[in-house]
Amino acid sequence: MMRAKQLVIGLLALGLSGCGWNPFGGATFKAVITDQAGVPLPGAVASSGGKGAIADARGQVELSGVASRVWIQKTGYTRLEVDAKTGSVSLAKRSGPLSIIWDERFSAPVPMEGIKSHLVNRGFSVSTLTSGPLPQDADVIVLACPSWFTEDAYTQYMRAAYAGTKLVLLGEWGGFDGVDLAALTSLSSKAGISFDSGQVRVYSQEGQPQSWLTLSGVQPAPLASGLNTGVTVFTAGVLSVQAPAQAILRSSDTSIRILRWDVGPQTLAAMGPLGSAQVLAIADSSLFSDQTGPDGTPQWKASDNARFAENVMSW
Amino acid sequence: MRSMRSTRRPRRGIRRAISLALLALLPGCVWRPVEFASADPFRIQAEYVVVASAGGTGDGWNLLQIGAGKAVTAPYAAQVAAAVVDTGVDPRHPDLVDRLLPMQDMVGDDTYDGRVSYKGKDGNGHGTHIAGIMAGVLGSVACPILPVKAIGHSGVGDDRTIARGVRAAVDYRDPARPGLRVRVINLSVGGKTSSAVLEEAIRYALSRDVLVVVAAGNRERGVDYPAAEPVSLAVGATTIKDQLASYSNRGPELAISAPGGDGSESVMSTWPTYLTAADYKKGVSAPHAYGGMVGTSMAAPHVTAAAALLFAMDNRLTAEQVRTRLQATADDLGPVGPDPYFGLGRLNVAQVVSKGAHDAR
Repeated sequence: MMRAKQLVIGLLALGLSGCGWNPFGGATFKAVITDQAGVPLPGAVASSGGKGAIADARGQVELSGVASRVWIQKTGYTRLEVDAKTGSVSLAKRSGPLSIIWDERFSAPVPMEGIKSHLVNRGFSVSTLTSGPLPQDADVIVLACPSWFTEDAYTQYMRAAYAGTKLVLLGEWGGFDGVDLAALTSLSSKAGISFDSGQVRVYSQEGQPQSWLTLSGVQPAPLASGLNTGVTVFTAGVLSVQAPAQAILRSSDTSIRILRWDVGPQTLAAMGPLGSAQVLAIADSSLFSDQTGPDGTPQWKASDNARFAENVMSW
Repeated sequence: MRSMRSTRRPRRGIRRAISLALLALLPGCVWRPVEFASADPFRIQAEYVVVASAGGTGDGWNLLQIGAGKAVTAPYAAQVAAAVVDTGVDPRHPDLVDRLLPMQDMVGDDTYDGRVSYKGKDGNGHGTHIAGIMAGVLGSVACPILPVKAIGHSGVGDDRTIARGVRAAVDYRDPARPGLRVRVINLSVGGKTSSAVLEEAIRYALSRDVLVVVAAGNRERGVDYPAAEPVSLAVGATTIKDQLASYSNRGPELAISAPGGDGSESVMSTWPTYLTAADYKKGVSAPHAYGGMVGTSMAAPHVTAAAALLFAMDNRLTAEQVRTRLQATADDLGPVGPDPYFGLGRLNVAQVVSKGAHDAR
């Protein structure tokens, strides 16, 4: 009997000492993701068996409980499948423009032609989808403010995400009757993000609630590249974020979240891993729309909104 | 004039005693306790409303204050019902009869003084008054009102019956009108302690996408239950001067405020077209059909009706969306931003029916 106990303990010790192998949930993948010149690629996604993690500013990524093979994906780079024991991964940049599908099959008619033209002028390939199935070979799919959704569409989106397509989901404030926040959350929740039905509000010194908020402090650095004045959102909703997702844009310390009566910084944009790619959620869609803001400027032109859109697509 | 009548238990706090005494000074007023009288310590206890049988000009100040009456397109009005879980509603009141659905009676026998039966009717007046306020806010929008009688003529009920009433409202279906559903419920009741059974019923309503609007209570203290439950939309009361009503409960649970009136100006609304138990007690000999009341009980139905308007305009809206819209468009009162006195502010119906676009414009 004593001998049998010793044998079991010995076996466990062997398992725990195995390199990166977790006896309770598979191996742990830990690597640095770079381009072919050795430059770190923050934002790259490592995924395996439905789980994913995003590389930090140094390109480091860690994902536990992986199978023997791990997929590495970064928008604009060739997707790679590597062994889970690999410690460094180098991705090759793809030639040609990034392809963006602007899915308007489920959206209320909010014009966004300005930002689309801007992105084309900046070297992106943008096509608008108004009917038919979702192409599975795009780099980025933008779903702006869907007012309805179908199970079939959900399946198409998940398939695209697992094939390495980044999803950019644009919500709205919770009182807008033209947005199906549950549909957006159905896509983002696996990454730890949910679109809440509240509203972010900041009061001016005169005591009036502001319908627009200009926010700086975009994180991480690649998403803030080229931003000078910040990002302006208009009557935005709120996101709830939990691991593995992380916030990328937050409101000020004095802002208020309607419904929960929560005073303090509120998350207005977040990202997380979904399938083999990223999902990037923003709690407002009008920041990229042609609608005019308080000063008469189209909202996509306000502050650094256009540059922020470029960063969101290419990062 | 009848003096204050109380069914309170002994050993109430000094503050409440003072509060009651002050309010009892109001002319033409008697106390009607809406009390959850039960030996069960887990049941919620009392909330009081002031009933003013006189007083109030009937000029509709409350409707003017919230900007009610704006013409709206409400294509789903016939499919969206608002429920009043209360003391019942006079089924024959001329101002209400056209929009009343068959009363759901959770009480059954309801006899006053061993001789007057209020079975299937409102023997108190509280529910009829609330239904009248809702009809006033709805105006020409023909949303039906579902009366659910969960409290008898005494105005004293228990949480289990009220919870059954909430569930009955949620589950109400009319074979003759297959698309009809209750989307919002008014609960102008409350007490000091929470009730699990009532909270569960409200959660059940939310799970079926039905918004539950609850009066905050009239004790000048923290928000009563079930208004204080996070699942409720708690409503405080304002006066004709658009100020906080002195009796209105306060606290971070407060979502929004609406007219509840005070001693100088009550909220006028419908009253049973027959003598209620309250009328008998006061010695009233002739039915009056209209009357003034004061309290957060009166504030809540303004919000309930505004929610029904939104659902009638677009029945794809969720309860959460409607709640957000109501709060986001309220007129900020008191300290800047949300506060424990008015919540997000006083209901503004004109704003809530018009500001639903991307940028709330």
